[in-house]
Parts: sequence; structure tokens; C-alpha cells
Amino acid sequence: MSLLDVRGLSLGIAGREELLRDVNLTLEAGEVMGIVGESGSGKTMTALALLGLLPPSMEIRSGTATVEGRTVLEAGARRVHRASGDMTMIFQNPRGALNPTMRVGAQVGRVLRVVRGKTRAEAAAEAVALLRRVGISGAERVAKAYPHQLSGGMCQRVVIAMALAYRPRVLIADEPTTGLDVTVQAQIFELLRELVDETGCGVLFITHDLAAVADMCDRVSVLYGGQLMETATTVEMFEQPKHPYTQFLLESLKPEDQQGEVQAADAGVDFSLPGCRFAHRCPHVFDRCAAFPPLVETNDKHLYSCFLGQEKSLDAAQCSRSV
Amino acid sequence: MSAEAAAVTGTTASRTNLRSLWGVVREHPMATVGVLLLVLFALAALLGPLFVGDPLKTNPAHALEAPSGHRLFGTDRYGRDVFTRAVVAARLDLVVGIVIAGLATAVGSLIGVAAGYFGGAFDEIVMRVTDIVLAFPGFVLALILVAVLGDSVPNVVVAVAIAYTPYFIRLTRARALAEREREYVDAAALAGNRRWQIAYRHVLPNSLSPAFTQAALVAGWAVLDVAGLAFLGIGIQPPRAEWGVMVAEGANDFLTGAWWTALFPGALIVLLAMGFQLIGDDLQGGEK
Amino acid sequence: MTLLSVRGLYKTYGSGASSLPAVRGVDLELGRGETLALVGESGCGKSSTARVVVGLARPTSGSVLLNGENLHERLHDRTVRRQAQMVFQHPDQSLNPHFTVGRTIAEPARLLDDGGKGDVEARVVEALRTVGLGPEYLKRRSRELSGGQQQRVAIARALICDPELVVLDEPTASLDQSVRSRVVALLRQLQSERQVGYLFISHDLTTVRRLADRVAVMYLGRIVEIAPTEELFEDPQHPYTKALLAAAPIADPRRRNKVVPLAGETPSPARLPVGCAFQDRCPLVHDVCRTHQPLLEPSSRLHDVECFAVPTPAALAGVQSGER
Repeated sequence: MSLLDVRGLSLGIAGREELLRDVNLTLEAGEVMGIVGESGSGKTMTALALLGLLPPSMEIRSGTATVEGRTVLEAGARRVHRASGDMTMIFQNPRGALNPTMRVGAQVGRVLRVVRGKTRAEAAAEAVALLRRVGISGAERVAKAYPHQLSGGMCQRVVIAMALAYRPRVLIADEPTTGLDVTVQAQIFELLRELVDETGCGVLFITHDLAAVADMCDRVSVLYGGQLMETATTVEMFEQPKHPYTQFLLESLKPEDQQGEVQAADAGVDFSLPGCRFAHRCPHVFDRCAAFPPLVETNDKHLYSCFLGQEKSLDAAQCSRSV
Repeated sequence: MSAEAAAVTGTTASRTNLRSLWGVVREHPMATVGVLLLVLFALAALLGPLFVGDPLKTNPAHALEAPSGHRLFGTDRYGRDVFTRAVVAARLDLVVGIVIAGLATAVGSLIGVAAGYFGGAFDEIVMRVTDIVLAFPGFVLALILVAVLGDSVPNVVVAVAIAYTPYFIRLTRARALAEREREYVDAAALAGNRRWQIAYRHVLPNSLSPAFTQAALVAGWAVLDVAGLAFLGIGIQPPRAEWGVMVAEGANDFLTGAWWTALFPGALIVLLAMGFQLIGDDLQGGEK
Repeated sequence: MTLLSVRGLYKTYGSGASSLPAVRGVDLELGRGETLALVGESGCGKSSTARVVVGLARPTSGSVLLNGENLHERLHDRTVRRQAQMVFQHPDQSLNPHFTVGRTIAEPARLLDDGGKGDVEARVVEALRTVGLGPEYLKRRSRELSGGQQQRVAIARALICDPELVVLDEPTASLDQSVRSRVVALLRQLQSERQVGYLFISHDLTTVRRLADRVAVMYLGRIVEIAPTEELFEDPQHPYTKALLAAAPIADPRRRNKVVPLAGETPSPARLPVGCAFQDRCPLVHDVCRTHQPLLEPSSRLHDVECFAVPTPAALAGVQSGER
């Protein structure tokens, strides 16, 4: 049984087209899974859905999510249960995630009191210990500081300490280092790696930065236009990408003169079309792409959503390219 | 796209328009009521005077007649038809409300953007002056100004507009302070705009949206103020057909039982002010 | 003649006890058709330098020479002003939301060029074409465009007056990866066609390596190392440059960062130590670093390092010339 198991998750604004369609994800204990996509790919929306934090206009059309077998998400329900601390999230803008009028030690302590039932004194002591754990030197002093007195990197450490206070099984990190300096980013990545080794929790690492994925993740899932394109181990994803979109994404890392011809139109995705959402940019598009491609398994850890490479379809692709 | 396909999307588009209009109505019920009220008043102001008679025509034989099928709102102590006078007054009150709001918006935004964008001593002076003006209740300030300027419709308009201008100065100044930090302002400087050009071509249009919201509210308040001044006998004078004047004249007869002379124009003042208010409230809510 | 020459540039915000020195003595040179990248982390002064170089901010001291003319003395001269343009970091913010694309691009042409008004429209269409957009975009407004399209419009606006210098302030930072590489390709193509000089501000080392001829690394208001791009990436000398390069993740899962290159964070420019600003984070710190400011040799076109621990002629000269 996987630590986190998301099956067939579809969601959208009530009465409109689906923004996320049939997304499947698994996460094992002690694993870092990257969720990669460009803006509008649905990566943050997936995270918000898992945490029951979707905006009220969004509805879950179908799908389930379980953590260690316990259902945390069902179609129709807004949230199943959340206070258990099974899952928690660290955010893109750490300073915005902290209460500006409260000392950071007290904010960590509050989580300990509310979620873990600690007394005030226990919580204060453990909050300092947690701040020390996330690499804050002079934790006693920092615990008494307000967020605006701390740097961005320091705020992110505090947010991570708050997340740790939940003792989460699954930690969702949504672009945790965007806006931080690269030397600070390296420190935060190192901290996250240590915490995974130590606590055995699983991390969903949401990012648009492929270099960060290569650095941090054991496995990767690629999203585009709310569709899960490909899931594989990080090494396999970088070395043998199967889906044309993944190939295109990796291609864009190369110097321009080595890039192949790709339809890199800045065009948005038409969510109302029933077929593959990459079809309008895909260089290999053919007639079958008008239907929604199911996930194909090449080996037990490598799945992709494309008709290419499936029974005899390559020939069809060759024929239709001239059309 | 083929012509046929275009035609098909054309019809669906108009159907979608209708449906989305219904969606807007459902999402903004109060604003819809406000719009309907204003449309009604605008029609009355525009077309009403063509259908009713002379609002000043007295008829002592029919003084203080109660409302009836023939005289919808009854008559006043001079035998003038209250309905006729109320309809004719709609044009004056509506126009006065809108002109005051427009004047205060235009002047206030120009000053506010200049203060916010240029800052410095000019900003300092403008802010202190608005502080002083805002220290007076707007109505009292307008009252004093009309007393100084003299009774006439333009003077009332100017006086009430001056009383509301500081609100617009503050709103647009605050917005301009935020806007001037945005990159398009730097880009405009590099494109060769002089400072006043940046202020009025670039910052001003982007600083107006809170002022427009405020304008709807101010138009409603202005209607109340003008009517209030007229009620006190300041500004617009009898026998002119104006709701505030009519309420003032009718108030004397109210106690003797002729409730209709004051009630109908009074109710119209409230309805018109409410129309503006409902729209303004909705706009303000939408601005988050 | 050099296109851009920055001499002894200081930029301090505020005054007295609350003053914040953002740029503390920067010298640089840029030739026609050349790209110089200014690299560093937040608060290093790269954006302040950029704003002074295009004339959006005045230097506290020092000068900016454009084709030998002092830019800040000739700010009202259109012929000087149109030579320096800029592409901004947030394409959604750098376009006036009330302007159409056509009006946005036309504005510099109308205000800065003497040419007759009749041909502006044609020039706008031509400018759109050079950035890969068709004339159907003329009537659109920025909110109807994607981030990549907005940035193309901003580039068209910067180039319509044929400037010789364009400052690129993190022009790809807010774009998706696939769009980013196309914008970089466009910038390179336009440079080779027009011989425009780029001052490229960035913290994204991958893009810097693709676009720049030379790289200057800034730390707390000073250039600590400057070198030709490949040389800097292959053979960094300054301990800060080394840390910066080591910290950037590489898009290759088989080459992972295993060491954290640098502890702590950049200190506030309001509380600078005496001597080298990097001393408290530097693994090679030496007594002299706490008393003296190491110096770069001004306007050197070679690989130069501002560090006592790395012996270069410039650094040694700095010790001899005494305090700063």
C-alpha cells in the first residue's frame, strides 16, 4: 500500500469544463515526488484539493485520495478530514504564510497545542526545539521575533518547523524556494532531504524548475493543462522521456541551437476539448489524439498518457503528420 | 472557420449573452434593483416633461386635493399638481446629482493623481487642505459655500461638489502612490514621457477605478444634500419644481393632514439616492 | 569607442543613520553588440545599477557614459535618451493595462524620434514582426496576452527606436521554461541583427551562460569577480562565485548537490563590516579581509577578482593603495 494514493482525480469549476482530469499519483514513505508543470498546469490545484483548500467555486468531479489507506478525499465532498495532520503544506511565500502580529515561536507552539494537545509550557519548549531542528541558530531568540524581522529563508525555516509540528505523513511543498536566493535554496533543499531521511514522511514537491527536480526528487510526475502526462523515476524521466510534452520540456533546457522543432506556441489550453490537452502543440499529433489517452505502463514505475508508441499507432502518426 | 460555423456560433453567442445577463442579475440582485431604479428615473427625466403640464400652474380652486385617479399625487396648497411637479423635478435632481459626482470625480482625481505621483510639497499642501475641508461635515460646508456664493442651481452644484472633492483626492492619491511603483511607469519614463505626461497618460487612467465606485455613492448623497439645502430654503428656491423645495413647502400642510404634498417628493428623493447607493455598494464589493 | 562606461558608481538610498548603500563603487564597460551579465542575489545592487545605467535613477556619485556622453547630464536630450532602453522583469506589470499593444510600442517612437508621424504605424507593425507577432496584435491589450507575448511586446517597445544599449532586468524570470528559451533565442537573434549591447541582470545562471559574453558577479554593492562567461563558469576564482555556482541545481539527476556551499544569508547593506563585505561567510577569510577592502582593477577586460585570498595583480594593488 502506498503512503499516498490519488486515483482518477478530476475537478473543475461547477458547471464548466474540467480543469484537472483523471490524475493518478502515488507517493511512498521516505520518497520525494516532484510535480512539474508550467503555470496553469494544475499542480497547485492538485495540492489544494488534497488539503481540502479548494476555492468554493471548485468541485471534485470524481476520484479518491487515501493516506495509508484512510480516505482523505472523495468526489462530492469538500474535505473528508484534515485536522489529523496526515498532510500539511509549506508555501511559496513563507512570509505570507505566517501571522505578522504573532511571534514565530508562539505560532509553532499553537500548532503543538491545538494539534498535539501540548500544554502551553511544553509547546513553548518544543517550539524552540523544532526551530533548532530546522537549522535556526539562536532558536530561543528567533522564537521571540516577528516574521518581518526575519529574512525570507528564515521565514521558510519557521514554516517548515510549523509543518513538522503536525508530524505529517505527507508534506506538500509548493515551490518552497521561489523568491529565495540560490544559496539559501540549497540550504532549504538540504534541510528537506534531512527531514525526509529522519522522519520517513513523503514529500510532494511542486515546482516548475526542472533543475530543482533533478536535484531533489526520487520520482517525477509531469502535468500539463490539468492532465497527468508522465510519471517516472527522475533519472528515467530525464534520460528516457516517453511523452512528447516531457520531451519538449527537457528539450527547452538545451541551448536553443540544439533544440528540435517544437510547437512552443504561447497559446493556452482549451479545457473544453475532450482529447489530449497537449494535442494542439504536439508535433506528433494524429487522429487518435482527439480522444483522451489512458495511462500506459512501460514498467512498474514509468507511466505515460499518450497514444504514441501504443499498438501500431506510430504508423498512423507518421501518416497523419503530413496532413 | 466556415460561414456556416460562424453563423452557428453567432446564434449560440447571442443565447449565451442572454444567459450570462441572467447570471449577472442573479449574482448582483441589489445592483440590478439600483439599475432599474435609475433607468426609471432617467426615463422620467428624459420623457416625463413632454407628457405632463406646466409645473408652476396654480389652481386655487383645487388646492390640497388628495391623490386620486385624476391627480395621482394630489395637489399642493396652490393647487399645483404634485405629480407634474415631481416628474419635472426628476430631471433637475438627477442631473444635479450626476453633475456634482462628475465634477468632484474629475477635479478630485486630477488633483489626487498629481499629489500622489509628484509627492513633495504639492502633496503636503493638498493633504493639509483636504484635512481642513474634511473637518467640516460636507453638508455644513456646502451650506456655508452657498450662503457665500448666492442662491442658484450652478452655485449649489459647485458648493456640493467642493464638499465631496476631498474624498476623490484621497482615493486617487492612495491609488496613484501604489501605481507609480509599477514597472509600466518606469517604462513610460524610458519611452520619453515627461513627468506630467506619465502622471496623466499612464498613472491617471489606472488610478480611476476606486473613484468611479465612489462617484456612484456620491451621486446619491448629492441628491440628498441638494434636496436638504432646498428644504432649508438655501440654494434652489421656490416656486421651482425640485423635490427638496416641494418637501419644504408641503411640510406645513403635512400636519394638517395633507400628507401627499411632502411624502411623494420625499419618497422620490430616497428612491433616487438608493438607486445610486445600491450600485455604488455593489461596485465597492466587487473591488475586494 | 566603448558603448557604455560606468565609472565609480555609488548609489545610496536615504541619508544619515538610515542610509542604505546599494551600489558601492562599480566600474564597468560594455561594447557594441556585447552582452555583459550582472549576476548576484537579492540586495547585491544589480537592479540599482541597472536603473542608474538607463537613467531611471540618479547616481549618488560616479558617472554613466553612453558613447562618451554623460547620460545623467543629457537626460532631456532625446537623441541621448533613446539610446538606452530597458526590458523589465514582470511583463504583466511593465505594459500599461489601458494601452493597446500598438499604442504601447508606438509611444517611444512618437516621443523620442524626430521622424514624421506618418510612418509610426508601419514601424510598429515592423517592430511586432521582428519579435514574432503579427499585426493582429496591434489592437489587443496586455491582459489578453500570455506572459511570453507580453514580454515580446516589451522587447518591441524597447527596440523600436533602435537603441544601442538595452538593459534586460531579469526578462525571463517570470516566464515558463519553454517560453523562456524562446525569448532568449529572440534576444540573441535581435542582438546579432542590430549589434545592440545588452546589460543583462539575472540570478538565473543557466540563462546567463547562454546569453552573456562576459559576467560580473556582484555581492553587497560591489563587483567581486568579472570574467568572460565560459571562463567564469569553468574556473571561478572568488569564493562567493564558487559558492553561487555550486548552489545552483543542475538539470541532471546524476549530478546532485551533496554539499551546501555556503552557510548563512547575505547580511543587510545597512550594517556592513569594515573590510570585505563577504568576510563573515567566507571560508578563506584572513585578517586583512577584516581591515581592508580588496579592489578590482578598474575597467579591466580580463578575468578579475576582488579578493585577497586569490592573488591577482588587481587585488595586490588594492592592498598597496590602502584603505577605501
